[in-house]
Amino acid sequence: MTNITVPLRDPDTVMRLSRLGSAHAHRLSFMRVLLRRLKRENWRFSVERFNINAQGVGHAVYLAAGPTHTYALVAFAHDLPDELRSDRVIAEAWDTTFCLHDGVPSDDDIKRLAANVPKQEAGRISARELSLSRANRSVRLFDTVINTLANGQQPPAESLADVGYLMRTTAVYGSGKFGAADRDSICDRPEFASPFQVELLNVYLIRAFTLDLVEHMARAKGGEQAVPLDPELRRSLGVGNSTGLGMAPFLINHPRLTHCWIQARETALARVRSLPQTGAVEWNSFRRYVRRAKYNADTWHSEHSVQIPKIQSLRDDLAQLNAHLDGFDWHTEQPWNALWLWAESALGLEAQEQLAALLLEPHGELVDELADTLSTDEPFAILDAHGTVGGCVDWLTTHYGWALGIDHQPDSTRARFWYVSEEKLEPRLGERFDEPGAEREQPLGISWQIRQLARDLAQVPADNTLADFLADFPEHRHTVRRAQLAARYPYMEVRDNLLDAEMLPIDLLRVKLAFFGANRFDPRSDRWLRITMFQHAPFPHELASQAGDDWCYPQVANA
Amino acid sequence: MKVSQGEVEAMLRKAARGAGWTWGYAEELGASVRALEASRLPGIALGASLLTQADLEHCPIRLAARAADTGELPAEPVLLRCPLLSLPVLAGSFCRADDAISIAWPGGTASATDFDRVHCDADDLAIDSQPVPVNFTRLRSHSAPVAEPARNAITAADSDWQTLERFALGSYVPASEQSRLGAGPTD
Repeated sequence: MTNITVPLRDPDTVMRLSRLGSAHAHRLSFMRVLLRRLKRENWRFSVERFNINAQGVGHAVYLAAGPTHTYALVAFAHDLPDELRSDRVIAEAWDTTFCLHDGVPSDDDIKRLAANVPKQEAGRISARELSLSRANRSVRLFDTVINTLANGQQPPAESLADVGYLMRTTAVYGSGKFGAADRDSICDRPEFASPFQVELLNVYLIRAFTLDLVEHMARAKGGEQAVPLDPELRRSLGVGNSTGLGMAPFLINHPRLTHCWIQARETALARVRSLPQTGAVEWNSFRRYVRRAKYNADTWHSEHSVQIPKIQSLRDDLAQLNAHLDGFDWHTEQPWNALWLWAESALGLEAQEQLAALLLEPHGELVDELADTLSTDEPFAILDAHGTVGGCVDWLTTHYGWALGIDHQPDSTRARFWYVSEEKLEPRLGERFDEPGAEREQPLGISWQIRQLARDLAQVPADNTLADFLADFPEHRHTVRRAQLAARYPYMEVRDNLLDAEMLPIDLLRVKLAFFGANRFDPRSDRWLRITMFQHAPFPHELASQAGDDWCYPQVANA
Repeated sequence: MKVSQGEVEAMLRKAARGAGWTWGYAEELGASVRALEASRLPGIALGASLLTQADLEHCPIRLAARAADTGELPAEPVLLRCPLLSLPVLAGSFCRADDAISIAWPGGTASATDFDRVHCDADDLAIDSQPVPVNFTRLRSHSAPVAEPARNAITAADSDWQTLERFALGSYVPASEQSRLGAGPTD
């Protein structure tokens, strides 16, 4: 039943940085889409080889066999001196390096990969590799856990919960980078139809390898005395990730994809809100998820000055939500919509977006199929210049009112510029009036570009052809081409000024990470943050016997 | 070296930008080079040469963009360098149903039914030569089969790729201490 009687939320509401920066993981998040598929299709997982010595150095191959293809995580574990460990993209050595190979690798493949994968960006992989990644140990936890297990004891749950991972990835590259297979060449495979499934399968297998590595090193150290990690403690560990500005331009550079993700989620929300009634099963399930989300918020720690008040407001608002639910009559007509409308006026952004995710939880049958709408092709868009200048002005008024309404006068509104560093070819954010390089800025300041375009269009007679305008102002070709997508892709633009002095890049990072499936965000500055992936998820060997999709929120007793 | 199609498009875009092209034309070059490579034609060599020749007056991308914008193919021959590079945008813009755009220059002919379905029959692609006169024709109900675009990796000549990397440097900003704010070192 997919009758939608409630409108999808307006892009002017949804696509603001402050709300994007309050996004939470949900049923359509890519990690969850992946695990639902792996379980549904009975993927078989095995360790093809584990040639790692007592010091944790060597290589391993983990296989994931689906209905039509088998994939292999090829893992290389190194002996990295502490002083060389760095999460920066400019690092040159790591504790572990990986690739995801298409098929079962031969010995020759392993030799080739051993010569290239540990070099990461400085090496080349082939079209038979789908992704390249690396991970570093958690200095706080890795050795402690090994030593504790070696002594026959379990590490205290709180010490694990504090960090949440034993290793963190510092980059996971797919989609044709460094020689890997292009997305085009694999996107017809059903398992890769949804976004980032390759990269997330890579990370899911890294998690399995990491825990096996730790237990292996504990056994090597403690011999018979050593114990494996308790299964629940094991599951409480995810794979950490340091995400910085490298990911920030993605949403801007892939407007059609951004639209699809947001539209899928908004459609899911509208479907649930449109339901004319609900039942006790869904209601009780929802209440349990709210309690789990509250527990998640209560145990979510950050030391960042922006995040601390957001977490506090989330906790307060979820307490308020619980109180409201206690007195709420779910037999009322369109109960989810009634609840949503109350929340829009009563709760802050973090709690609203958390609620938007929670409303989807009891409704898998209604929303999970929308995972098929997350991906889209991004063919090169031919510019349509057959109209007039006046027609273009009207178009901007209709679709870019948000940009035209931004005041670009003060210097602070153009304080930043986005660029790619020569040092390591990574995206960075500069201060326009304090640093060199603004003449080489990347075209990510969409609102500014629209403003410049509108200003130049206004100087020209409205019945001039757009073709002649573009011949005189070729610098606007890029913007016009982009703007022409807006009618078909209403959620494509981040509707805020990305050059502003007050802009927080972590807001861009957060919405993308929420769509990946992370649900605890730990900013370390205004432009990088830590998350944990697959925390509480079943391991590959547990997928068959455990629920595949009930791990997004920590379990709470009596929930 | 082997490069993915995505890398080809991105590199040409950065190289063109680094060479001083506007982003719009840089994108059109990147997409056109990729489209030619997907059609199993030497797009990378053409792109590297075009940027090296630095001749805006005889630029196939600008010509194609103007024709696409106005909806009018040149009626008279036009002097162009690397004429193949004009085809993807022309085909993407003009071709409907069974249409094809065909170009002819002293070294050969080529036609395209879509952005990345380009067929070429030429002894000389005019990669490095002086501008050549190019004729444009629109063919209705074109029937010559054109192969499916290739999806796999592309082999780029090292010298071409190095040329492009040199141009691309012009689109990057050299590091300064101030610019090194990013992901922190460790836990």
